[in-house]
Amino acid sequence: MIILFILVSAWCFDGSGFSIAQLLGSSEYLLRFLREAFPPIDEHRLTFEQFHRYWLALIETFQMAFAGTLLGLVIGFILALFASRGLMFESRRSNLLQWSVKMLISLFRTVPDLVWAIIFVMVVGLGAFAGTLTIMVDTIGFCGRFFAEEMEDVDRSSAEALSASGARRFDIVFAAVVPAATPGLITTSLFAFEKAIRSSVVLGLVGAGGIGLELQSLMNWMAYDRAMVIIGMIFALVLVVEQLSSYLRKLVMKNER
Amino acid sequence: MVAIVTAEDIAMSYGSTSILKGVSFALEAGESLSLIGSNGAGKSTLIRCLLRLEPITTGRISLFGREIQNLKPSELRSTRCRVGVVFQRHNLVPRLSVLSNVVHGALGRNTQTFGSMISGITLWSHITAGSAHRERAMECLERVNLADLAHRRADSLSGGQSQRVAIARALMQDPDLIIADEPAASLDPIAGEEVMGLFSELCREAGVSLIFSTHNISHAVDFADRMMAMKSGRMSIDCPTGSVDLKALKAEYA
Repeated sequence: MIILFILVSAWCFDGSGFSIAQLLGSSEYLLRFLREAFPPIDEHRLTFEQFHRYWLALIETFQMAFAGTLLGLVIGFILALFASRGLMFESRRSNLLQWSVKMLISLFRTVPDLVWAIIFVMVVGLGAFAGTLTIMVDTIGFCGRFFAEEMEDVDRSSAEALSASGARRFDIVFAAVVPAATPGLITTSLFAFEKAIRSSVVLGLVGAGGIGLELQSLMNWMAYDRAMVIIGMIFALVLVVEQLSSYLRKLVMKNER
Repeated sequence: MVAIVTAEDIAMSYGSTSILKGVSFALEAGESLSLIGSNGAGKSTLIRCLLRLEPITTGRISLFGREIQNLKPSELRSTRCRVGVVFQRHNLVPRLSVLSNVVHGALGRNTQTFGSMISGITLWSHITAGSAHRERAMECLERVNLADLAHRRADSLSGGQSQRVAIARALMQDPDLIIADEPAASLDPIAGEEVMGLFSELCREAGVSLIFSTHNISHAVDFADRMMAMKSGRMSIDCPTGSVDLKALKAEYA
């Protein structure tokens, strides 16, 4: 088993073209990038107007991520209700429906976000709207799967007690299953938002709005100093969102004793 | 008297294992019936079959004169709504308030019309429920002496308290029959006694019929008019509790 693992690893490293010599040999390019990138802020090169523009792009990135996540959460939740085994319908009657919804969610999840971005840029044109749609589809894929699993994992005995007292399935789902799954649903949503923030940053590379577009053009012009400013801003945004989200997650967990 | 539950020669099997092998009995309105038998004798399965939570293989079961095998989903719901059910444990939705859990008892009522489907949505929690339902739920909680815990979370209660909340939820249904599957099994002896006492008292007061299963022979005798014993899927004893030879019974089933 271990030998197999070593063989597979060797095979993969061979195929990946990994080479320390190459990495060291090209260090002059890295040094050049770093030399030109620092100091990133130099009043002769970075004007206030430029910074203001980056700032707006950063805000747009955040807005895209937030709006896209929100839409994705709502749609993902609705799809998850149908993708979850034996939740909305008797399991044997709805196998086909459940399977097709699951497949749809998998499709949303497995196609990478950059590919969706390229498609949406083609459909609705360059800009933040394409990015928002991309984030939405990505979130549906992520939340659809995990929401469904969380609702499947809920202890169904209280749901059965309600079913035995004549409640409708729809009411049982929202009165018993969803409340029991709430902590999981909230933490998944927070993860989805973190993920959305990270991916919204790169969506600009293919023209789907946000700060990635600025970064892309600066890199093309070899304006590494200003690119560095943007990288710093992205770093700060991601850090703030991740900290906030983990704080909220702890808050949810604390309520669960 | 009219029989509100009749089971005629019912059999039930999981795959090739047969659990119930021809069980027949009838319960009259206002009667209380206890069900004893060792683990695996088929008590829980019988109870689940009575509510159509499990399908029976052969035989007939009627609740309130309606044969439940052939009911449409909406008819099944309105029949189930007349039966309050208390399981051994995990009856309540853990993260909701006690009051919300009691309000849920009204979910089964009139779900046929469109208007009542909308009003069903308000019953998901006590916050959205109308004041009439909330007051009724508080009354039910008072009857099980838990009104002061109405706003506690259900998962913060003790085992005995949760069972009493489950009883309150059953009362919220305004049932004609209460079915309880080993309601005292997970409780300590004192809480168990309390819960069983509450059952028989409430049922007597409201004229509600009661079926409960138990491993405790004293409970079976003290809190019911009639008792049935099951042994490997068959009914072995069916007699009024007054005429029971306690010692012989304990030797056989305890």
